[in-house]
Amino acid sequence: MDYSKKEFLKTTKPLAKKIMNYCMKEGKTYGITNAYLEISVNNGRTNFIENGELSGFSSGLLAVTIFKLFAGKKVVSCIKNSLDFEEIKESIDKNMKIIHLAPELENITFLPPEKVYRGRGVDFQLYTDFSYPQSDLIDYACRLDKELISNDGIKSEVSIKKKDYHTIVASSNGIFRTAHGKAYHSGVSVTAEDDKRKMESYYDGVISVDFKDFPNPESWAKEIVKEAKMKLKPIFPKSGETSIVLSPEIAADFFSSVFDAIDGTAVYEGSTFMKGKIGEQVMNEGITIIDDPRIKKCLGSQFMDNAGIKSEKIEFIKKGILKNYNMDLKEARQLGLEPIGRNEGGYTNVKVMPGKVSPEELIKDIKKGIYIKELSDGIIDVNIGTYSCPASGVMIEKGKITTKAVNGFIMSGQLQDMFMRAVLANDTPKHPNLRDSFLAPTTRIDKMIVSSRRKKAIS
Amino acid sequence: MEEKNNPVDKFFEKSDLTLAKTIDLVTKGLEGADFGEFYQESSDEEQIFKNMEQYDRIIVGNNIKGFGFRAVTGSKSSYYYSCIFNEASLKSAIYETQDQIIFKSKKSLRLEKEQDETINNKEFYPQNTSVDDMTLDQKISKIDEIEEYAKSLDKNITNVKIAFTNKVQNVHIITADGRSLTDTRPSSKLTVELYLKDAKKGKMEIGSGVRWGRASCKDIFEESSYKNTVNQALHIAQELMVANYVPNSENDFEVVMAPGWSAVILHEAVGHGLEGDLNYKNASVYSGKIGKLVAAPEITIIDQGNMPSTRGSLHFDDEGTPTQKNILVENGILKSYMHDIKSARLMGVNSTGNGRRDTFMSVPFPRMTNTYIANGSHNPEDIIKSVKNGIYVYEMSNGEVDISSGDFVMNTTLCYRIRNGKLCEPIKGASVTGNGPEVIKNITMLGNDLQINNNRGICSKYNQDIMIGCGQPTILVKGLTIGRMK
Repeated sequence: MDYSKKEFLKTTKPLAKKIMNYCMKEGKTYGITNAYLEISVNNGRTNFIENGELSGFSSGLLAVTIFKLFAGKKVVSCIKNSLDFEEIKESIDKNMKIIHLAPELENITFLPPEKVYRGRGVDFQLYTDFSYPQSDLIDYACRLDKELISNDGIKSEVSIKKKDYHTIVASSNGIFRTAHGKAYHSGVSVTAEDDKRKMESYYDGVISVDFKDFPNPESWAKEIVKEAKMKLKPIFPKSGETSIVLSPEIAADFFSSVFDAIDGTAVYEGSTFMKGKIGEQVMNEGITIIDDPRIKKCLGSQFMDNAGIKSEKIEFIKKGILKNYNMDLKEARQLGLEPIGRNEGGYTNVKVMPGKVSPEELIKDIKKGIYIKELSDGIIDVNIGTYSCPASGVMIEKGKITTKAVNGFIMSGQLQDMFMRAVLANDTPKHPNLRDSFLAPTTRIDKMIVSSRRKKAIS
Repeated sequence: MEEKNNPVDKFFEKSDLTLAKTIDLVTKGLEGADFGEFYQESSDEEQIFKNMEQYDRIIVGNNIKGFGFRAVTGSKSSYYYSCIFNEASLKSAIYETQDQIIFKSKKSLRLEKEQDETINNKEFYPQNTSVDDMTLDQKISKIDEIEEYAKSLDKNITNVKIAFTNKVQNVHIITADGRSLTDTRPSSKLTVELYLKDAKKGKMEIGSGVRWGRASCKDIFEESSYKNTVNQALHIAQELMVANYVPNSENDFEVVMAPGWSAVILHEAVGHGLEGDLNYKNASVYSGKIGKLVAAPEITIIDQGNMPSTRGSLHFDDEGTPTQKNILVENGILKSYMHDIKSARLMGVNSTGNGRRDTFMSVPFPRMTNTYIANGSHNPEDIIKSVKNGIYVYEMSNGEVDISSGDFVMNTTLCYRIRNGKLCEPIKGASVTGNGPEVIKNITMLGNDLQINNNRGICSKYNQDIMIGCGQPTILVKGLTIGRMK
């Protein structure tokens, strides 16, 4: 069942007005000075494929209403998953009655009406009324799965999903905006098994606003099988210092730690080594990191932040120099800086700009190193700069990426040093991208510490 | 659980449906399917955060509610959920699932008789609890008290970050044979992070303590409870301040793991491989190994969802099957997998009460509850005494596990060196790597001090987060590698 933009607006526009009127009118008794409201509805369906055919599906509808009430410097908030005014009113009443108990906050996230962005919204082409029929999606996923399981030793789980989402935001300082989107997503989990029952898992997925952008299922399946089988019979690398090269996907993961380190709250708390480093060289001078919230067909795009400030392109790192912290309105006020039109902890569409050499050039002088293709949750501590993540990939030998799988190790280093030593290739992917909205090129970091299991793979 | 309070009534307060009508629709809707269920949830939640002496966020009155309807035939299933609960919406859900599922079987197969018994009346956690057990000002006053207590402990504490969450999930399930079950599942969490500064050295360390379990807000704010949480955070921060990094040149250590939370390795690297869905697909290293020796002969591994006051416990799982004690490995021999109804049927056994889901928007899968290694025979002191050159893993952090192979790499928060049978200086920055199935074969000494960790543990599978418990006694393991994270 689709939940269209038209249906959403028909239901939620009058509901939003009614809730806002109620908050401001009834709230006078309780000293309510401002209110903020966000209503969103998601609906979608996920199909699960096993043995080349549909094995099940999960579909449904979720409505979420979030409101915040302000009484001077006091603020309370609430989440309900309801579109029923009476139910929402019940929670509003509860919050109004207790708001006097809330402590006063400095820097609350409410913008004076004259500072709210009043410019036109932007159509980022994230939504169309047209939906591809479920049968097309199922057919695609079945083809993908059939191709996967046609290979010996491969077991797979494939899912394909379509999701529509709609949001309306209203606040008493004049914000009234709507956003709509549609996303198609396919996820693949593969287990490759060798003749000794040694198994290795591999995951991949694509996401797009348009299903027609999906890769050819048979070609994609072949790539997945190649990667999964390559993981079998791994060797454990030698412990010690080594050169590592991050694939573009893994480099994006690594560079996202920059945003942990320049997070407004961490800077305010003093729990990041980037505190006080605006204008200083914090990364290799070959590194420039740009966040652009205004790219069509990119799921991270936004024309204003939740507080009502216009969102525009920002250079966070320029030639290795820190230019901005990543802050929402509250964090900017805490730090005494101008707000930048971003939500808490939120970047939009990030690009680590390409370097000057090709990936082949970047690697060619590495006699023995590791090309990292998968990275897991580890410890990334921006307080003292610890970076330590379990990883896997393939060996680099004599300047070439081989097919010899390596796993069972942790790669670690000091973030400050890693930022300074990182050297970029010139292959940053382009937005919009099927895999991520944070894009980075192949990246080389020398002198990384590898802690390995040393022993041979268990058979 | 107690019929006298009619706990099911609250699920129908604002609906045009009655319980009888819902049961009728659900059971008729499942005719022709092998099984399925109606799952309904209404969860209340509050959150209060304090940081840098300011209240960051106060969120009260959160309510998440909705229902899901599932029909399963063989290995095929269809599921529909909605946050709107009325007759039209339920009928629509039934239509959607029936319209698309392949109903091969005309007979309506019911649950096994064993599962049709009355649910144990014993309460594993409080049923008469709500987020309103304390008023907002009482909670704020308690958080201020905790902050004051923490600051009084060490003048070098520069910040006390406190996060409090209180959730009460009310669940209602109607099974394919028309049983209606309700449960109230409380969960309270208090996290305290202490920022400890050494001005002379220009260093800051952050230590954290957490209590997060099936408890009410009153339990979590009880003085001895919050003091334990704060003291734990301070201990970690103080030890990290003086700890050295594990020597890079040496990694040939014997490894002793502390009781309790160290069992996260057991959960991740062994437990997932014993879940039924991987095994009916023959996709686990444990597939086809029932009756075979898979661990050291002293090792018995249990998953038990019916332990009172333990964070992974449930009165019944999210398909309505009572939880139970499941012996997975007994004296080293693999005895059983963990099952939901689907994996049990596909493997020709009964559900073990392990069908769990995170919310009404998700379908259940076989998941762990409280998974632990049973006690062995050694005093923990004797285990440490037996080690000449080793590492004592005091607190595990996070890491990565391949659940197919059981290979894992885990980071630690805090360890201690063991030299000549004695615990020595603290160590930070150590990682532990190994293979789960090998670890349980290579446990050479098993302590008699079993602890089930009751303060943390969230399991993520298919993007569904659920609360679990895990535990073990002190263990000595050979064949693990200690690495250096920095």
